[in-house]
Amino acid sequence: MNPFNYNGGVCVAMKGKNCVAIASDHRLGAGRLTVSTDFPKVFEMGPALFIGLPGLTTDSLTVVNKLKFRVNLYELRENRKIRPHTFKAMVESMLYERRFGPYYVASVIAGLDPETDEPFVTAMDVLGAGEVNEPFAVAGTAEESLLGLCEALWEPDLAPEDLFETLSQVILNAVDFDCLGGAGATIHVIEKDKVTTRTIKTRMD
Amino acid sequence: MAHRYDINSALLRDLKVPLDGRTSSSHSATPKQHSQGPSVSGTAVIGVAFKDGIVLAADTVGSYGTLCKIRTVPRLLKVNKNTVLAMSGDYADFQFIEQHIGKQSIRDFNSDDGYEWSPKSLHSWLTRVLYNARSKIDPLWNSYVVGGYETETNRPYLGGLTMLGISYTSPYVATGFGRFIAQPFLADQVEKNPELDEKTARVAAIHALRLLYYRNRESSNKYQLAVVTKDNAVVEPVKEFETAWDTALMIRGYD
Amino acid sequence: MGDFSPYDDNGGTVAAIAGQDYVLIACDSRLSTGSTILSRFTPKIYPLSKMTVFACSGFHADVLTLIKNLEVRMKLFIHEHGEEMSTKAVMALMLPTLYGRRFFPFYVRPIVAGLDRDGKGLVASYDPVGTPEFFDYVIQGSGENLVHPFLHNQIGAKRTLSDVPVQAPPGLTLDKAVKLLKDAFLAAAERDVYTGDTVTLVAMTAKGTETMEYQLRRD
Repeated sequence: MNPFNYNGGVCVAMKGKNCVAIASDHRLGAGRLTVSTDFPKVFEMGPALFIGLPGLTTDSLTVVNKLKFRVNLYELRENRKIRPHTFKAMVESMLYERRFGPYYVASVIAGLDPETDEPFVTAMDVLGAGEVNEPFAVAGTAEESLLGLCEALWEPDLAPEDLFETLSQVILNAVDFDCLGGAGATIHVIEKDKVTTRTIKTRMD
Repeated sequence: MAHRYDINSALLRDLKVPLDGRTSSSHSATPKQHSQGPSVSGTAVIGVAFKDGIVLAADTVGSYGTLCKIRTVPRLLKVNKNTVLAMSGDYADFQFIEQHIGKQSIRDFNSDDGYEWSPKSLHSWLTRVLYNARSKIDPLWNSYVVGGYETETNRPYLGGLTMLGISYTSPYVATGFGRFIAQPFLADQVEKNPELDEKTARVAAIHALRLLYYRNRESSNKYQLAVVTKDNAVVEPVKEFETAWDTALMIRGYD
Repeated sequence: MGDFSPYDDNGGTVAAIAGQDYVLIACDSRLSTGSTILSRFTPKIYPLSKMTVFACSGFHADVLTLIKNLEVRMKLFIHEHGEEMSTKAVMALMLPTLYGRRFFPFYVRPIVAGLDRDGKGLVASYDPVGTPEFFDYVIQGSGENLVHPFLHNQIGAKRTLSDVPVQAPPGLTLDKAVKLLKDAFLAAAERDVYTGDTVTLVAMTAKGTETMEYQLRRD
């Protein structure tokens, strides 16, 4: 079985005006069996930095621990917060280290630059091939649905509340068409000095 | 009772031919072999529509694999004063089509009802012939460009057709290798100048062949043009176009 | 040599929305094979009668053949009954036409759309062997996965949290439907390489048929 379709799940992030948002669904599966309906795939890496890791969950958990370790070391050594750009480079190189035996996770990163408050989103594949010039980033079992919805619904300079609404609609409607995702969603809206985390309900089938 | 040695069965078993004369099952795993690829073949052809007509262009090579087996062979066919056809792919299959068109034209003539091929009707008919052949898994290994002047609408007509029966119309068409090299050039020409005149279209067609000649070893600089305007279709005699290879001297790194 | 396949996939996306007093059909005009474009000027909508149109993506040679079969059947019907086939009759005709090739199927994703005798919009879609499904809106072809959730969001589901409710088809005006399908095709062309060049929208009402064309990405 394809390791990407074993546990299931999706992540999506979007840029707004002076804010970013990142969301994931809540399902954890074992093939067609749903094991948990309370399993978000977005992890906090700093006060304004999040990473979503849909894919093979065992690898997601390994990767998130390794990353947290590296981020902690970086911040101790440098005595400053890690920038999203730097964090992206860190994830990329960590994934590429396993070029011929990869961790089966795709990554979505969202954050604000600690100095400039510049919004940042990116997504990358298992090997760490990322793209930084897009206003939104998607990954997971409903990738195509998410991409189509983002293309149709996203618009520039969304305020935090509008960004939340847009991202909610995107993830809600995408997982409705994905048997391997869904069971609720968590959305983090990251602003200059606050993060608003909300949970929304989706279909449970 | 001891098993009796049956010389006939033994022979038949060794020959692997069952009594009914058909090949045995181990042989008939691949049942009937139809044409599975082209033999002597022609490479890309192109077509461009201009304000009041169309130009088709093709070089004159009949290739046998990488061998240039026939240097001068016509790949353009004048069907009538409104309709021409350009072929690429298997030349034998084209000759079959040529005869088929000839027979059908005679039948149409004998009906004496004033009907004859128009480019659109030939395109449609040829699509059926190729589609029926593919449906029997016995394809005619050709791509065609059908062009001419449609008297009913009083407009030029230009269409393409693949061996599977996929047919389409477009103001510029190319088959095979031409899809990669000639089609982008022709698209550019047509989009820059939607009201293309005959002279510009001819120059564009010849230049498209030249581009192909530089990059496609199956092609040559011996070519034919067919030009159709209202009530006049001409397949021109074989000519050669000029090429420039002086820049080749500057290429480094391949010797 | 030796691996001849009688099928090809020529890509493209088709969509339709059935309204209370209209039907709207849309398609792109790109015809491709593998990674090359055969034509940028081949829309996938085919008028069948005054009341009915057919839209289809998939293997273009099969699409053309299917259209020819349908046209013949519809002409015979006129000769026999002295009137054009109704949209519902065309929808019923699709099943035997497609199922007749059950063991060498037409590789197609057809949509039949039109108006019934009262001027109400009807949309039916089929799988390659003829299974019919009737919808208020439908999208099929290479951009399907990208855009279906969007149409579901805007038309099918009532899922927005804002004050303005999403209009379900009874409240969905033709103008809004045109905007939706235009947006849907712009999104599909953005991310699906087999969809692009132009989007053609055909709006049918009891008053008549209007055709609109808009440019899409050409890369």
